[in-house]
Amino acid sequence: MVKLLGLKMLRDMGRSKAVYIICALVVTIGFSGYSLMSIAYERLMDTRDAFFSATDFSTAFADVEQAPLAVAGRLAAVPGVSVAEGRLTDTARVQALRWHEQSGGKREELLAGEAELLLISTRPEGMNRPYLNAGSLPRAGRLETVLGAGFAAAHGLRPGDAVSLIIGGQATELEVCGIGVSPENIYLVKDLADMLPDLSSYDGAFLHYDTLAALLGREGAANSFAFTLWPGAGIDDVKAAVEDILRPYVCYRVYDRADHVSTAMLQAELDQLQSMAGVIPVLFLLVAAVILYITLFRLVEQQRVQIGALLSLGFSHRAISLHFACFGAATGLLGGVAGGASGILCAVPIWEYYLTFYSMPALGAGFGAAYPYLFYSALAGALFCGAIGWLAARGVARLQPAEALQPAAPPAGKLTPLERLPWTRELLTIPGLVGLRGVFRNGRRSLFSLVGIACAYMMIASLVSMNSMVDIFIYDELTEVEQQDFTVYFNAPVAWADARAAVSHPEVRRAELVLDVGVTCKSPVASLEGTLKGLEVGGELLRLADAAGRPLALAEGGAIITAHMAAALELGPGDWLEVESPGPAGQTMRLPVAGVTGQYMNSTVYVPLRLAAEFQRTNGACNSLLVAGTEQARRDVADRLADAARFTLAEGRLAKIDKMNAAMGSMLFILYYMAFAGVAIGFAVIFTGSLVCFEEMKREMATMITLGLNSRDCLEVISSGQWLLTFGGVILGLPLTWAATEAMVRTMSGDMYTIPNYLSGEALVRATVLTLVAVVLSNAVIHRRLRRITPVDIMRERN
Amino acid sequence: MSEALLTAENLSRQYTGGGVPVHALRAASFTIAPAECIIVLGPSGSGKSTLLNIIGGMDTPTTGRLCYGGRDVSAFSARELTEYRRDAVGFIFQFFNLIPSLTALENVALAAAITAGAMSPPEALALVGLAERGAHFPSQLSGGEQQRVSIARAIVKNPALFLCDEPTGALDTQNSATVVRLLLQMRDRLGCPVVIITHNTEIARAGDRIFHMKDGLLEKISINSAPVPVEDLQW
Ligand SMILES: Nc1ncnc2c1ncn2[C@@H]1O[C@H](COP(=O)(O)OP(=O)(O)O)[C@@H](O)[C@H]1O
Ligand SMILES: [Mg+2]
Repeated sequence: MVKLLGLKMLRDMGRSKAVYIICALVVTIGFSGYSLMSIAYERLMDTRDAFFSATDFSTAFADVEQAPLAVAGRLAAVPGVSVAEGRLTDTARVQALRWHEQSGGKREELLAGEAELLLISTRPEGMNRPYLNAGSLPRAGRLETVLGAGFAAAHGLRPGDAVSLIIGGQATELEVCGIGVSPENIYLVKDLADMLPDLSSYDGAFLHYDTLAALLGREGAANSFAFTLWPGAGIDDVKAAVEDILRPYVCYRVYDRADHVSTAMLQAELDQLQSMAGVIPVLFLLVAAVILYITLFRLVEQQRVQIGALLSLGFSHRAISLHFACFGAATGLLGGVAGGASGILCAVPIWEYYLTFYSMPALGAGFGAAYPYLFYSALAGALFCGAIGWLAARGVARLQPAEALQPAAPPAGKLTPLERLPWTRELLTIPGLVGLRGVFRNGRRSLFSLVGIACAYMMIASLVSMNSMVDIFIYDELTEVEQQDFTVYFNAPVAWADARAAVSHPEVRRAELVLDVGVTCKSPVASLEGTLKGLEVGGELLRLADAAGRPLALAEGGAIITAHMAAALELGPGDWLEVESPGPAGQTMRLPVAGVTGQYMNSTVYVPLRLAAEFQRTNGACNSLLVAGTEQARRDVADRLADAARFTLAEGRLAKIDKMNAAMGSMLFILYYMAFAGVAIGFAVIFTGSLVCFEEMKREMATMITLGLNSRDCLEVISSGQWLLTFGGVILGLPLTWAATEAMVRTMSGDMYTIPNYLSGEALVRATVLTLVAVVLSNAVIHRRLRRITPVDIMRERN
Repeated sequence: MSEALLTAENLSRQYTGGGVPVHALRAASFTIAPAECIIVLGPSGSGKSTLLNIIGGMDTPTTGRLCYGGRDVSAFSARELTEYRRDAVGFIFQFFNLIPSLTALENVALAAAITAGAMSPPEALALVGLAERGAHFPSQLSGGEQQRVSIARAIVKNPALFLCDEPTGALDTQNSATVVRLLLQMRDRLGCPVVIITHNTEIARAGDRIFHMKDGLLEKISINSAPVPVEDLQW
């Protein structure tokens, strides 16, 4: 019996395979997203954990001005701390690269000041060692370094080559003894506002402690402590004791490794993956549910007499409902298996993409652990779609056997609400009227179609608007806010006059002074690490504007904050913001918020330059310059400053945009792919609706053809209903879209940035156009089928 | 007449759907004995199908009792009704009602699969003379052939009751004759009673008893003392 009913099911499904294939595809997309992201998440977690333990990554850090190394012993004695180690870190400008004669590969020369390395001291037996891709760890007393893998790759450097750095004010040539990464340089940004790391200009370099200490003239000293906590202990358990010990040495910050910028970004990514893995399949399963329900509901109606025959044979209502549930389960199983399998296949390249992005080594368990996802997806797909089938077949349970054998009573003909409007009757042709009445006659199915179209519209619109979100999110910063051609940074505050003199050049159009101060920003409800940015009043190279694009002008005594900060601190114009500088001086300042910019990626407080300088007590100083000028000017300035110890970097904005484009390339590809998936799904829903409607009205249309109407007129029967449903679906889709983008934005926003719900009118219009295109396409397919109708066959066919 | 297989007392069926109540069947009382052939005659809408559906466990009477083998069918739960249909009844319909996506043999096998003590499906098909057509789908068979498949589907279950609702209604005379002959042959072979609804008074001559229905009333039961053999019916 099971076998025969299974056979019946397969053949029935084969008759309208288009619908089941479409539905299985939607399920496939959902589950491939689910398994892909879940596997990538787990695999990445594994890799991260393996990487952390392979490098003995410490669980906490403390930054100080300078302390004796021996203080580590006192830190280790704090209850909750198991091991502590002192180390030195500093930044150094790269002056030149020197390649070994034999080494081939590309050789990318650097302009003076274009690249900088974060020096981190290390010991072979200590914590936070680099994980070596090649070569060996640096030895004591040798001028050797392990270069960050990203920097080495960008410039074609290998063990045996050399880099010349300005360390402690002096040019020093270090031999590259190895290439590697540590958790501290997997996501290295010099300035949080840079957002994406650029390893070719900023990466880590690991030197033996003895070497670095000698080069910096800080033997026996440390400016950073790494320590490991007892299992179960948290940073808050030891923070106070550690701060007490380090206070005499000017303690800047004691933090958990979760707050280490390099790993925080990875954590944010992991959190996002995890929450998206939960959201994506739900959206797609919802759409699949709509398609399946419409299809199976119709199938059950259509097979009413067959159901009667099965009942008369002695099949129970349960067995028959189960039979229809199997239609759903089979579709879901197919989609789940395909989704799980494709997810497993695609997880490998995605994982590799993440490894490249975060420069992590391929560590951790293999993909064997991924296979259960095939099973989960298959099971969840079958159960979910089976349940939808069961719901759609609920009508069976209510059918009395004798009743089932009679064809359903013809629906009562009545005027639709629309026809009561005065002008509709004149506007509509008879086929159009038939179509309209069809929509209202089959209330439940029409409702489902409506919801399906609304869901499809929501998916298209929210995916399309994701693209504009990314535009706002990342590119606006570079194209709308920043107007300079390049930026010159100084390691330490420089007098205004000296800074201006440094860039005076006939081809420099404009130069504006900037003073950045790292601060903690507080509001009554929260606090946030950020940057106080002093800008020249009336400057033009950093254009501040609010979310609507209206320019914001800096004024004395008021602060302009970014949208991310406004959101995180729950502040708005007119509120008071408290700014506190870290470290011993610990000045605080209260400022009224004068405006909020449309920037979502960074936490910056913009104030007039003079105010920032006063706050930092470095009157008349700045630490970077925004410059508008030619590329020649940039090269000349770099050359001129090549020997200046405190100058570090002059990067072209356009080059930055290029690099951003390259880094975003794959991300944009994913977004376009998703938008495409949205359109395909929209089409699927609309097409299924039309197809089911076509099957249902076949007989009516055969009659019309017999009466002499052509296939175009008949198409109108279906299309008028579809247009009406589409219209309603789009209207219903608008609030749904808003809710979906809002939910998406909430899951993606984190500590590091806020993502605005940027649902633009343009995205809505585009989505509407795409939805209409889907209707037109589906009408075209239906029209082809209509032309193949032979009325005789249909009239003879008895259900 | 021998001991009754089935006894009906005051069977009534009232439909209330759609405002005005319809008395489809009013107080019908009768018995059905093993191996007898009952013909039900009456104009369209007179309650014939309602009666047959109640006998077959496809519908339940509003009032009245129906006893089968000492059990009260009218008091059966949905589950017991399903078992009753499955094990006791073989149904044949005017429009055959085969499953279009199953072949002739598969249609028969489907019925056999859920019934304990069923005949072998190929054997049942052979009995209706369609051994060769087992692999054909209903759409590839003529009306008469489809009806014969549906007879095979009913007899494969070895039913205790054989119920036919206008089995020749959609067939030409040639096929009608074949179908009626088969039905009576099967009655002889299985020893079960057969109830046939028909508009054809000629077929009535082959029955042992004729139920005359009008406006939901079982007006008259006439006894045919000398049933005409099928071969002698005038088509
Ligand atoms: N489900 C139903 N709801 C309402 N009336 C019904 C239903 N089924 C049958 N009837 C009515 O009951 C009467 C008897 O029907 P039926 O037994 O099918 O007649 P017959 O088979 O003799 O043509 C008819 O008037 C019919 O309209
Ligand atoms: Mg009838």
